[in-house]
This record gives sequence, structure tokens and C-alpha cells, in this order.
Amino acid sequence: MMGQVAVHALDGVDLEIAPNSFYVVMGPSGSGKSTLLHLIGGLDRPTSGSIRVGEQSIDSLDENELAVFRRKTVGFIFQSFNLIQSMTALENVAFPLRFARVRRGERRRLAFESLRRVGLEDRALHRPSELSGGQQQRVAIARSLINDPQLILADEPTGNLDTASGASIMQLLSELHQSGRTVLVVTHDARMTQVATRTVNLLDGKIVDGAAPVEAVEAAGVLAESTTGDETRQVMEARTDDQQAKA
Amino acid sequence: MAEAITTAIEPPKRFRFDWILPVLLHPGATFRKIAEQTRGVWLTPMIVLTLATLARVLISGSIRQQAALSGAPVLPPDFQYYSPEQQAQFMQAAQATSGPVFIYIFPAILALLGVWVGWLLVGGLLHLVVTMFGGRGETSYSINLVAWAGLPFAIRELVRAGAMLATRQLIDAPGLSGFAPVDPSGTATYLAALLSLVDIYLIWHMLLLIIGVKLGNSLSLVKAASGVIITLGIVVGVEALLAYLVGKLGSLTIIRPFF
Repeated sequence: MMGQVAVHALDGVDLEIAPNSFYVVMGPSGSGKSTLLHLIGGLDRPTSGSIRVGEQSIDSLDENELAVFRRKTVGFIFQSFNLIQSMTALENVAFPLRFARVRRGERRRLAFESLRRVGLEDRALHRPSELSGGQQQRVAIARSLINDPQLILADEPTGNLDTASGASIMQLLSELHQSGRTVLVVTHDARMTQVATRTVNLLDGKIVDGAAPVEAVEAAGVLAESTTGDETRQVMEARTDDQQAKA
Repeated sequence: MAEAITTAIEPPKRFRFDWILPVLLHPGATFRKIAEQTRGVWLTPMIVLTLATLARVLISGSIRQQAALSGAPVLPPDFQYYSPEQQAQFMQAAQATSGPVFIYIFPAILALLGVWVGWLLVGGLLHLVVTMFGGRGETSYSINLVAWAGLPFAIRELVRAGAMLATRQLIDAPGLSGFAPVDPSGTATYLAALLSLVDIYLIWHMLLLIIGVKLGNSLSLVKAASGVIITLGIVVGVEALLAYLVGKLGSLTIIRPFF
């Protein structure tokens, strides 16, 4: 609600995402991109409609079940990295395992392995404030991979990075996709479409495709190009009817 | 003769610290002595339980305070999803609640309320259930019995305090909670709350109660055991339900009766 007016962050969105695909969601600020990402990742709940990830309908899960779903199925990457400043890179990456009854030694081993995958094993004992933006985002990616999720959700992952760092993060996301994961990126960065298998344009909470809507998106200041990928098998469906982000 | 009369009218001792070990080692003989008392003799075990509880609260408080001072308070599981602003707000709130009032005084009050209110509730409920099974003991005996049979919980508090002191870590999976599903949900959450209350000290307490109820109420072993199991089943079940509901509402501190 914005004062007396109900604002629908998403409205009538019907989206199916194939497994092992790389989706990029683009749109102007306030178009509902992040809301869509948060709904799919179980960080928000739809006021109506349904969200299914694999065989699981996540809109019916309670808070505990949602926490389990997030921990096992989804890896989140945020624009502002969301690293815990008082912890080292290694501790940040190991953090999600604290609540999965993984022994401390095993947590450290897995975290180090995850850091190695993003090329930051030599920064394991550095705190976020001692790392560059690109390195912090790599730590965040390593943290998102610690539970070996099948679905990676990234919210403006290059938004706070310079061009070179952004390109390396893009490359890393592309490698995650090529390793068999499904990647969904919300971004303003048009370069991301180069590695995507499909681009979805959002405007005012609705998916817009085709020439006219793209023009509308371009008119709103966002460059977007839509490509169609293979959708032979449905793994994820986010269907929102008259959908509104949870306050 | 005069000496004998003097002995007979000697008032009972206020404190019976000399019964502490016998209750744990020779409960039958000691409960017989307790059953002979015409007035309350619950003060001694309750003092022991209170002191042991305070020791545990003090040590867990010192660990929390140390964590707060080092900037590493206990973080919620979803902390990684908090934005930097939310993380900063959480840290500020953690700092604001890292004073002695929140770390020592409130937990101590809650823990002691749990001990004393729990004792009275269990004593009353046990007397009711045992009476329904045909017991003819006095209410005061049930109250005395529950206090003395609560001594294993004092040992538990001391063991936990010692463990925390040695490891400088809080105990986050008490009792049989390790057998609960790793990611409990729905009824499994309740099961996890229930299992966290069950440990060897609870069983020890139950056995002491059974011995005491049998002796003080002239009941058969089966009836005494049934009365105690029903009482503890109700108490533990309700406490787990409270923990479950509070857990559902959020990460709030719960009043933990001494079971």
C-alpha cells in the first residue's frame, strides 16, 4: 500500500523457466524485477497466484519450510553483497552451513572449496572491508554455492561494480549456468543478455514481449533484447494473478 | 524421660542439606523421612536449584556478553538475506540489548520464574493425578517431593554451566533434539521442541518421583508410575507446545520451567 492506494508490484505474471537455462529479467526501476526474484526465492509471498519450483509449490510452505527451501534449493546473490562485515570471507561463505548441523571443520573445508571455485582462496581470511567490490561479490557467489543449489537468483549482481569486475561476475554466472544450474538474473546491465538464454522484460509489474513492449521498455530508459531459449521441460513457474508484494 | 520429651518436640530443621546426597543415592529411605515431615521441607532443594540455575544463567550471559563485545552476537539463520542496512539495524539492536539487564537480569528472572512456578504447577498437578489414582498423600508431601526430586535438574544446570564454561559456547541443541529432523517443519517442529526437553535428567527426575509417589501414597508401582508419567507427559507436552508456538511467533525468549 502506498497511502490509500494499493500498488501491485507484479500483476498477472505467468513465467515458466526451463532447467539449466539462464534468464535475464530486465525493466526499469519499480517494474517488479526484484519482487519477482524474491517471490521465486521464497523471500516474499504472493498475495495471490502460485509459485512452483521443480515439484514444490512454495507459496503453501510455512516459514520453516521456506527456510529449508531457500537453504537447499536456492543460492542468492545481491547487489550490495549482503556480507557480514564482522566475519572473514571464509566465515561468510560457511555461514549458511551453521544451521545445517555441519561440523565446524567440514564447514571450513566446504567454504574454502567454494572460495577456490571463485578464485578467492587467497582472500579467505580477509574481511569484506578488505576486499574490492568484485571480490566481495565473488565471496557472495561462493556463499550462494555452498549448499550446491540448483537455482541461482541474482539481484543486480553487477550493479555496484565497475565494468571489468562486472564482466568477471557475468563470466562467473555464465560458468555456473554451463555447469548445469538454472540462473535467473535481475539486472539493468544489458551486457548480461549476451550470456542469457532468454531475456524477460518487465514493465509496471507485467511481462512485456514483442516489439511494442520492448519499445516501451526502451522508452523507459532500459536497453533490452529478447531471445527465446529452449523451454522443453518446465521446472519453475511463477504465476501471479493480481499479485502484490508482501509489505 | 525428660530428654525424650525434649527430642520429640524439637522443631524440624529449616534446611536439610544433609538430605541432598541421600535423595540422589538412596531415594527410598530419604523419601520416607520426607513423608514423615508435617511441614514443608522444600526450601533446601529449591535453593540448590535456584543457585544452579543462576550459575547457568551467569555463564551463558558472560558468553553472550563476550560475543556482543567482540561484535559477533548470535545471528539468525536468514541473516545472509538481510540487506546491509538491515544487518546494521540488527547489530544496533543487538548492541542495545547487550547490557546486563538483557543479558543477566531478564534471563535470570525468567529462569527463576520457570523454576518456582514450574515447581508449584507440577506439585499441584502431580497431587491431583495421584489422588485420582487412589493416592492418599498430603498436598504438602507432593510439593516437598517435586522439590527434592528436582535435584537432578540442578545437576543438569551445573553440567551445562560447566560445559559452557569449558567450551565458551552456548548449548543450542539440548536433550534429544539431535534426533529431530535437521530441517523440522510442521509437526516435526513440535517433535523437535519435545525432544529438546527429554534427557537423562528428566528420566532421573521421573524415577525419583515414581519412588516418592509409591512410598508417600501407598500406591502400587504401576499406579505410581502411571500417575507420574501422565503428569510429566502433560507438563512436557505443554511446555513443548509453548516452545513450538513461541518459535512460530519468532525468535523470542521463552520462560523455561525447570523441566
